[in-house]
Amino acid sequence: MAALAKRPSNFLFESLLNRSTRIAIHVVLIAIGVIYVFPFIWTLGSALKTSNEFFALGLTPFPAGPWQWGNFLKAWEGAKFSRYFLNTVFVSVATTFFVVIITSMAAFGLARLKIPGKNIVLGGIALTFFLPRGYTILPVFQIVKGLGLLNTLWAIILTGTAGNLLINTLLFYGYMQAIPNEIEEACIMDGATVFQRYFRVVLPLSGPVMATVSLFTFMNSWNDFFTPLVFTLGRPDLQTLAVGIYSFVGDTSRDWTALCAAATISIVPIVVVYLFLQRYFVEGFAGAVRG
Amino acid sequence: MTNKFVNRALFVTLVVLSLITLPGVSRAQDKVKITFWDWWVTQGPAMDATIADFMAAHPNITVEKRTIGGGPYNDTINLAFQGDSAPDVFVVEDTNLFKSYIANGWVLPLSGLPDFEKWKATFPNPGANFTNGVNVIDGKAYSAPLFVQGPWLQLYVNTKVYKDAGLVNADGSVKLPKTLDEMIANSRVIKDKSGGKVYGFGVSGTQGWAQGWWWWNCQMTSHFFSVGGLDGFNALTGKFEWSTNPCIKQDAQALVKMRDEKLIYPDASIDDEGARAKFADGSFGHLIGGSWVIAGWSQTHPNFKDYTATTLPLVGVTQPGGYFYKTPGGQEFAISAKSQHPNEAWELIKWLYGPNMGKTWADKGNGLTFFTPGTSDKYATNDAWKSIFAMTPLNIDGPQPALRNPNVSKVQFTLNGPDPNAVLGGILSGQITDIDAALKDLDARMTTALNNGLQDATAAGTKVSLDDFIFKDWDPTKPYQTQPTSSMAATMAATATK
Amino acid sequence: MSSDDALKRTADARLVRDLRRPFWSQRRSEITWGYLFVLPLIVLVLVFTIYPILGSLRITLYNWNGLDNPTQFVGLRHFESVAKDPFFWNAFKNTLTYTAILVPIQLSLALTLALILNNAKMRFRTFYRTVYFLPVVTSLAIAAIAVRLMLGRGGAQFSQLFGIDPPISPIASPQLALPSVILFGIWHSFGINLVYFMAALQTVPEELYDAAKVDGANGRQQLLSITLPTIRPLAMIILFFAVLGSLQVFEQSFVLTGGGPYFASEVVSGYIYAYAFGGSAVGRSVTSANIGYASAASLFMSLVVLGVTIIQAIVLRSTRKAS
Repeated sequence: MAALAKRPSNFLFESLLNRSTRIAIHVVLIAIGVIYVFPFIWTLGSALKTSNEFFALGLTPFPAGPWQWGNFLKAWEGAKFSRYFLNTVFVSVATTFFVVIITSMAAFGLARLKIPGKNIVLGGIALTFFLPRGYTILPVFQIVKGLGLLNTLWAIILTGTAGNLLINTLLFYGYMQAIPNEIEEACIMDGATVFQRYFRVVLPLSGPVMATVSLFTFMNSWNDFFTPLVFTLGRPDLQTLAVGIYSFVGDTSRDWTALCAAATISIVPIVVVYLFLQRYFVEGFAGAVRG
Repeated sequence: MTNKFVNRALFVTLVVLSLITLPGVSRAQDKVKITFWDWWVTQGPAMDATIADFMAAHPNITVEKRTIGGGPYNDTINLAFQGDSAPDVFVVEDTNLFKSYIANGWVLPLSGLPDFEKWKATFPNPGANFTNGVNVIDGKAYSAPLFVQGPWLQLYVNTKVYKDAGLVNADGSVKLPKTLDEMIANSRVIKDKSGGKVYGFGVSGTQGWAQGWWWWNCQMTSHFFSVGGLDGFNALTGKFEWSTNPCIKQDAQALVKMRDEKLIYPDASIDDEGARAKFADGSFGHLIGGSWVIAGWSQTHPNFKDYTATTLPLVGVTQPGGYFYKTPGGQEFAISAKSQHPNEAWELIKWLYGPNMGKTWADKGNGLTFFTPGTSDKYATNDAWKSIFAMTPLNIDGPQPALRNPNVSKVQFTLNGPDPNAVLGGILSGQITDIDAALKDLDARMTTALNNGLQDATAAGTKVSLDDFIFKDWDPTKPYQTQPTSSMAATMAATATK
Repeated sequence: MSSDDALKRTADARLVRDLRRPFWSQRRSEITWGYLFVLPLIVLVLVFTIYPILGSLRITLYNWNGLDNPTQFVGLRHFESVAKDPFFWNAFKNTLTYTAILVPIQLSLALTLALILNNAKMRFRTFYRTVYFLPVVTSLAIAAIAVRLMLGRGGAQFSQLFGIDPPISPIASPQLALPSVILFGIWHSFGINLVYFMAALQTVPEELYDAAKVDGANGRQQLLSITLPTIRPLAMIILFFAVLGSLQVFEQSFVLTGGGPYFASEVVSGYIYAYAFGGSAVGRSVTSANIGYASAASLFMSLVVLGVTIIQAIVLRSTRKAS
């Protein structure tokens, strides 16, 4: 990974572009960057407006009058955000954990163990990926109910896990298939069990792809809306942030400024996580696809 | 590094697991907790205050209120019942779905609860308030109406805009428009006197349901009637009359005329709330909405007082040819049959149908309930409320197909293509230019939808026909008492036990 | 024990172990383990993906409001209605337009920027990458609500800024609604494609460039003869997912414009949603939700997407063969 970060090349940048072009590029990139972050700034600023200012100020992000920090308090208390936050963290972490375990195990079985019918399973996964999706939430609801998991966070975790399996299995499979045989063969000679080969050899070697799978699953899970909505209908105390935001959305009138505050509250943690872990997004993914 | 990662993930999982008490473990509580669901957003402050008062009066009961605004409310209730997580007390939004809930055994009959008869006697007109086939099924009452209803839509007029334009009578009151022609004429004056800065009318350009309110101008003009959601259905003839009722076309053409004369505020085209805010700013003179806009303004524009309400404008006539129609009986609140605390839920129901709720509701600017103490004058805090209270007699009982044959609620009406609201939106935006063709098409599609619905229901063994939607003896200018058919009791019983 | 050790040291351990234990036993144990490893995946996919899909197939033949059991059988009429509904095809056309405009613009911009940012000497590269990726980590629904509020409140200002007349918000304009949805779509998912391409560029071995430099190739030649051919397979996968994702566009239209005005920006998922949930969600007050109809429309669309996918795969394969 460190080696990746230090890649020196840029033939293109060096040979095609002179100094003034580079400056021009920076100007363009910064201008686009401003457009990119403006909606976030506007949302944050609007969370500090009064209702009246919200309607009157248009695109102006920050109000001239006193900043209404009370909107944040209203959003936090009105929607029990601390609860939503913990629920979301739990669901996202657990979902990520199960997805990594299940997909890496399956990929190990398919890529490293010569099992008959491997191609059928792989073909099945690819086909399922493209199978027509009907309106399937009610059958899923019935299954979860049958398992007795309704109104538990496990309902969200289980369906969320199931929803993230196919593509991640293929990612792991591609990577594990490219791991040289010699390493594993040495372990086989040392009498390693199949499970040891998976847990001590192949899994540690799959670090980059595991990071990618983890981060993408975490992101999906954090932002998922429909599944947690359906499975927490009766239990507001089990809701996640995305669903919690939704309780602010009404029919003919909404508390818009508090909604902006709520949106800000829900966006900030994932942005912070992203800022800290963002290098994995690129380098983990690069590692995975290189395999 | 990878092992560390796994370990860390495991660790975090365990920590979080230990942080979160998983559900299913109920803690011992001194208080009984009941849940209450509604879909009321503007009315939220009134409901919150009511529930706070209730809890203060019943220290052993905690009520957890949850508001699910907008479209998904019914889906939420439906899935919650299927998932055994239904609220103890809930607001009934959809009449037909409520009957399905009853048939599924999801709703607790109020009839068997302590003091039911005494409670029923507190209603202003128990005979009509509890109506068989509406809120009484198989002799058991499941819910009751609560609100004093007038026409659900009004024309709001900005009195400051009117005064600035000199549209005032000799006594200083504003010249309220009665007809669409008068409203357009006034709009022109407003536009001219303000030098083009103030517009005549404002409407959401993106929210079909708000645009569609314009069609209701034909409600009082010519008993534009809605049967089970079939807007524009004439219950006298059994036909949709979007293309044949002259009011509809005139109404649409008037809107186009106003648009072309630039009498419609160009930038109110985003959402209904934006339109309301611009109306309060004095950007235009007329707005269509229901009484909830008053509570809305008291929240977003507390200093805005210069407005009043009047009836929707008549189209092409000077005398009303119809009324707004309501169902006798009605439903507002019900108790889940699966409630663990039916007695506490019943206490809440009695509180909601009581003077405290009635007073809070009116004080917070949401109108009157049957139990609001004192006369309506006391709550007519502004001109708009005064005229809305005066409009109450314009809401009369109309024909109810489901009362005569409960099976009509089994007819599924799936309309292909744009609904009337969307058609109006298309006309307003200029995407529909041939109004006649669009209205003919609407009639054809709605007829197909009704026929398909009837055919599918009949094929599935449900006894229902187009005749169930036709009321030949109905006089649209008089209250109508729907006569339940003799076989109804038997059908109801069959529905209830299914 | 000691003989074991000796054998290990002296001979091919695997062969010996295979001799000591019957060959099929060793192999069978690995196969058993293999199936055990794959089992959780198969079970979860069968239960939570395959079964619900099959379950929803039956519904397409009924009227169903989601309550009770579906009893009103309508045969294939829902499919016929979908195929005949001009508004389905309008939504379909909008979905294709969205895909056909968004994918080429977004991917070519993402590739260009990835080439620029792929330089370790480039200043602020991490900063740019971070900023452009920011919308991706934000929930699509929440981002769309924020942008909708912004354009709703400040739409007229926005239009004046660009000299659009009449000064109505682009999301309320019949001509600009769909372009707004497309722009929002580009804004929201540009970052992920940028990162995909940056990752793809990092897979190009440095030695190839070194060799090219020795051969005296200039930047353009390096780009055309080394960079692009090397990342081609990955670029195809990126393209594939971009197309698939675009065809499933939902929130971008549903939240931002509600599909309006008058269906000008309605996409197929929004069309399906309107029938599945009823109400006047997207300008259709289907009095009761008809999940049967929604499922039929959904299946119909999925078959179309499947067809497009297959064609795409065939075309990709044939162009690969050609090159």
